[in-house]
Amino acid sequence: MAMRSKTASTLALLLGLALAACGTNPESGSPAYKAGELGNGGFLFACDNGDGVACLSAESGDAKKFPARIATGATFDVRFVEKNAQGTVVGIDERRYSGVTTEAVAPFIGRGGQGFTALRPGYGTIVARDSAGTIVDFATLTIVRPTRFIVYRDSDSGSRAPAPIELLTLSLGGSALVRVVAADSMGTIAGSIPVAWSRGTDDVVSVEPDEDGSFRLGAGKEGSAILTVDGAGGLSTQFTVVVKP
Amino acid sequence: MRSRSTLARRLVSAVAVAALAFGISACGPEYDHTEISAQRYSVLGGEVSLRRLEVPEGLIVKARIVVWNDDDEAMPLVVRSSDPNILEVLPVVNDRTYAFVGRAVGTTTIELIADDARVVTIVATVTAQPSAD
Repeated sequence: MAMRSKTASTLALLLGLALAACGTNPESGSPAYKAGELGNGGFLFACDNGDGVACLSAESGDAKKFPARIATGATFDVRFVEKNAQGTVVGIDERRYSGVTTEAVAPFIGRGGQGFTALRPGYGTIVARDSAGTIVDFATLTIVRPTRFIVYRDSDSGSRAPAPIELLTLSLGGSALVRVVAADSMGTIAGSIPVAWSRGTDDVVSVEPDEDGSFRLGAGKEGSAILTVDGAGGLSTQFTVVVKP
Repeated sequence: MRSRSTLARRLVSAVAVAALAFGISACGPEYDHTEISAQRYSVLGGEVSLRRLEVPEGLIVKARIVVWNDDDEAMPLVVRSSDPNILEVLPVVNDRTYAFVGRAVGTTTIELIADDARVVTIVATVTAQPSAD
């Protein structure tokens, strides 16, 4: 009986180690992390990629690099990782803290979308707290008001400075995959902002949400059309689509 | 019948014992001083000191606070805000460390309570962030 118990314990330990090695968090020191200000772990940023949202694709899922700026009105998610740990139980200085979740400190950040909403330009705080309310760590986020949208080709995905489309030429029956991101004079800004498309001329081009936050522009008939992308706060961008035979 | 002198001696003894007990209790360790260290301020600054506490709205400043008695022993401490809607005090996992969260622009006080007695009161201000528009 004692031998079986010892064997079972050993197998459980080995299984635990194997599972830990298969964790999905970036490696320690990765730019994906924004270090917590208390030194107890790091925060990861994720962008909501539902249909009709504007989000830099480089930040789909866990961003490869924690963004420097987040757009006002944008939704996003932030999760806390304590030194490569998994799950919601955190161990610090030989004490365990359970039920760790991330929360926003109002009024600059609030709850929204799949996690949080950037409410006001300025600096906001995300805290990681355990179920007893003890702060495990926190991070400060920079929130800026975007001034425009950039519509760019999906082939530019992964670039942090995608080239904006001003004129898109399609062949009859063809299509193009594009994405939309909020921006200002300094460049692109992270976060998901719902957008609406409108077409100046019917039937020349169609717009349909595609996978993972992209949009497929389909050539309908010969001609030209001005497409407008509108978002919250009066944000708007236009570009021309020409369909040739 | 007991003599008056016996009663008087007993009364004097009782008073002496009571005085001795009071004297002993009055000589127990008492609050001596407060130590604030390991301050970490926000991107917009802040302050945590015995003179004042300041934190920008929406941000956090933190500090380690220890109160000592006259036997050089750290005393159990409660740190609380008179108005958590303006400034909230939250415990931090790091030993004897507290986070001061700026909830809304305004002024309140922070109280340090040791052995059920308020030992320090600090004026606390939550300041507005500069306009970013």
